[in-house]
Amino acid sequence: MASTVIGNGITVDGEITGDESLVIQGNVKGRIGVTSNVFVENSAKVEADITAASIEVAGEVTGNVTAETRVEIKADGKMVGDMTSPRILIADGALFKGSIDMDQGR
Amino acid sequence: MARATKRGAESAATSIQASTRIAGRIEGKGDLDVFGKVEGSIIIDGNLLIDVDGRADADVEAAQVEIHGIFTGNAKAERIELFETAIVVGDLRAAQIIVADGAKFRGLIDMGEFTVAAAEKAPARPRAARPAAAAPSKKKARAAASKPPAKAKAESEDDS
Repeated sequence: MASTVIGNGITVDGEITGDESLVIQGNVKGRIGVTSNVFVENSAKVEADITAASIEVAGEVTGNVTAETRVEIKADGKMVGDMTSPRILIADGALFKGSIDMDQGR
Repeated sequence: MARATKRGAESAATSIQASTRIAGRIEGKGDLDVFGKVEGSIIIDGNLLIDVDGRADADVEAAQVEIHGIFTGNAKAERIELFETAIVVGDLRAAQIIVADGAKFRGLIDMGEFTVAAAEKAPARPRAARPAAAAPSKKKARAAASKPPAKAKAESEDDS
């Protein structure tokens, strides 16, 4: 299945929902709710609450994220907000401010 | 992930896939391909493509707009093309507007400021080609007779 791509230079202000994975290279403000994976790439800036199967952050994210399987903040990634996911990876060099909840019981 | 990195190196084309929906404002540089749904507004300096299965309920400003799917709203561009599968309700403003056979359209078309006189003087106006076999000679003669050359002249004088 092809991914939905928000290209570099594009700004989306609103709500993105769907079943395909989402690759963000540009800016997104609002809310993201997908049943697949979200990739926030190097050039991307996201100010949104994100709900997805898994989330990978190599750009900047401000907002609360909830992933069914895992959240990964790459070495270049910056993230401010709360994370909820059973598996959470934060690479050496990544910036993060917020709380982490790995509680499986919910 | 290798896939994500590779994508990043490629051009920044934006695409909204079939089961994805965006509600809100999309703006910026580059092209946008809609295979899913978009509601709100789209303002881009590139080309907008609405695929056969795509749908946009939006006000659009783009360089070019190609519609194969469903579009409701107003569109402003340099060129707008409605393909045979297009279903469009709204107002279209562009210097060039192409509507293919089979396309469904309801609304207003505005190709901008021009006068009949100026358009007549423009050099590249190809003659209407009529298949010779399909047109009986009587009909041809009638069509030629009904052409009012005097009226056309009068209009051009009005304008100047």
